[in-house]
Amino acid sequence: MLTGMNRKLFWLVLILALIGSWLPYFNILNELVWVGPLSLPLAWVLTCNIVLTLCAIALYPLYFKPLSERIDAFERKEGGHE
Amino acid sequence: MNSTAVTIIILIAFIAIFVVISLRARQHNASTIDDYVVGGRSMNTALLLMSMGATYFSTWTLLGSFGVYYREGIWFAGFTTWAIIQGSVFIWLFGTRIWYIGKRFNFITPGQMVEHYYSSPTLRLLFSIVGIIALVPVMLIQVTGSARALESLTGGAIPYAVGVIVTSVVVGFIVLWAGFRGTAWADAFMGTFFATVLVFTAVFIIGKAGGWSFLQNVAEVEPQLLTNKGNPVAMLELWVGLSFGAWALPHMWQKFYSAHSAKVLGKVAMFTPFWNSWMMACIPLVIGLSANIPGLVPGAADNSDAILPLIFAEYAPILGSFVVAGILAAAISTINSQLLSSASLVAEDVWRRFFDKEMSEKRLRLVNKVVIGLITSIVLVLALSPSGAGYLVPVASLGFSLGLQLVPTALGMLYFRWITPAGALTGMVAGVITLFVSAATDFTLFFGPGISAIIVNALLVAVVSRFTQAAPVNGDNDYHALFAQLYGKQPTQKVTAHAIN
Repeated sequence: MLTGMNRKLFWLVLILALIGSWLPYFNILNELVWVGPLSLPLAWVLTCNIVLTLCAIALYPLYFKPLSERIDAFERKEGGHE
Repeated sequence: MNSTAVTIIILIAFIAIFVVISLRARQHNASTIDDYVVGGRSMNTALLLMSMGATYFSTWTLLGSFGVYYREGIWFAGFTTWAIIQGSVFIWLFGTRIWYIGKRFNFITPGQMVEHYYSSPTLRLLFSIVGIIALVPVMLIQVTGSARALESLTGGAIPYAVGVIVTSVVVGFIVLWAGFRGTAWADAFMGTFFATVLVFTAVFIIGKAGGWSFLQNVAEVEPQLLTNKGNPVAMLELWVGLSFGAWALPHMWQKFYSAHSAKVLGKVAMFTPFWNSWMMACIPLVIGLSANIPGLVPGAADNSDAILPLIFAEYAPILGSFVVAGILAAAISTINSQLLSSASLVAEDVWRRFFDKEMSEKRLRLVNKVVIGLITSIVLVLALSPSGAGYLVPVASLGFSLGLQLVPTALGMLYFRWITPAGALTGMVAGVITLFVSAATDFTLFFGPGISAIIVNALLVAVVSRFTQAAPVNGDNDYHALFAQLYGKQPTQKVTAHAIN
C-alpha cells in the first residue's frame, strides 16, 4: 500500500519536474535576472535536474529491487515445476 | 621537441595502453558467440555504467556539444535534462524488459527477439538492416570528429586523412580481437580518461572566465545566450530522436542484454545521471558559454565545433595532446560498441539466419570478424569522402532518426500486444521511406524529418494493426503474459522457455 503511494508520488514528482524543465521554452521563468551566479532559466532547469536525479535514485528501491526479487521467486517456482 | 612530436608520442602511448587493456580483458573471454557479442551477460555495475556512458557520449560531447552551447546558449540546457531521463527512467521502462527476454531466450541480437515474438523473418531482417544503417552515420561522426580535432590541434601536421585512418584502424583492430568484454573495459578506461580531461578543462576555463561570475561576464557580451530563445519544437525533436531512437539502436539493446542482473541495471540507472548529465552534459555548457567571452578562446567563432582543442592550443599546447587523446578515446569508445553490434547483426540476423542456419559458433565468430573488417572499411571510405566531414549534429541526428523508426516494433514486444507483425512491418517501411524522402528533399511538415517519419510510422502501425492478425502466441513467445507476472500484475503461471537461433 505504502509502496503504491510512493510510486504514485514518484511519478507525480518526476512528471512535474520534467514539465517544469520546459517552462523556459515557453518564456516562463525566462528573464535575465540572477540567482546567485546563474541566470534564472538556467537555475530553474538545474533545480529540476536535481529533483530528477533524486527520482533516478528512488527508482532502485521503488522498482528495480522489487523486480529482482520477483524474478528470483518466479524462476525458483518455475524451476520447481520442471 | 615540438608540440606535434609530443602529440604523436602521447597518442601512440595512449593507443598502446588501450590495446593492452582490451587484450587483457580478452583473456577472460570464453570462446562462445554469447561472450564475444554480449560479454557472457556478466557485466557488473561499474563496467556497464562506464561502458554505457562512454557509448552515449562521444566525439560529439567533446566537440559538437561545446559548439551548440556556444551558439545557442542555455536553450540547449534541455539536453542536460534529457541525459537524466534517458539514462535512468528508460532503463527501467525498456532496459529491464529487453534484458530479461534476452537472458531467458539467449538472444544476442534484437532481431532474434523480433522474429521470436512476431514470428516474422522479414520483420527481423528489416529491423536488423535499419539498425545497421542507423549506426553508420553515428560511427561516421566519431571518426570525422576525432580526425578534425587531430588536424586542428596540430595545425594540420596530422592531416584529416591520417586521423581518419588511425581511428578506424585502431577501432577495427580492437573490436576484432577483444569482443564485447574488451570493448567494455576499453570504454571504462576511455570514459575515465576523457572525463578527467573535461573536469580539468572546466575548472581551468571557469577560472580564466572570471570564477563564479563567469556567466555574468558572458551576459555582458551575449546576454541572449543566458535566456532561453524558445523554439520548443526543435528541443522536442532532439528529445524524441535521441531518447527513443537511442535505446532502440542495436548497440544499446545489446548493452541491456549484457547486464548480469536486474539489480545491476538498477544501479546503473541510479548512477547514470551523475555521469551523463552532471558530468557530460553540464561541463560542455560551462565551457561552451564561457568561450563567448572575447579573447578567451581565439578562433571559436570560426570553428565552434573545435572549442576544446582551441582552448588547449591557446593555453597549453603540450597538454593539448591529452585532449586529442581524450577525443580519440571518446570516438573509439562509441564506435567500438556500434561496430561490434553491426557486425553481429549481419552475421547472426542476416548470414546465419538466411544463408547458413547450421553454422557453427566458430564459423559465426569468423563471419563476425570479417564483417567488422568490412564495416570498418566502409566507414573509412565514407569519412574520407567530402560529404562525410560536414557538421556533426545533423549527421548524427539522421542515425538517431532511423533508430526512432525501430521503436513501434520494439514497443509491440515490450508493451503493446495489439501491434501486429503486418502493422509493425508497414509502419517501419513507411517511416524509413518518409525519413529519406524528407531528408533528401528538405520537405517537412510542422516537424523535422525524424519526427515526421515516426508520426507516419506510428499512424500506419495503428491502422494496419487494426485490420490484421496479431502475432501468433504459442505460450513460449507470450512476452506480455511474462511481463504481467514479473511486474506483479498477474498470479504466476508457467511460461516455458526455448531459445531460437
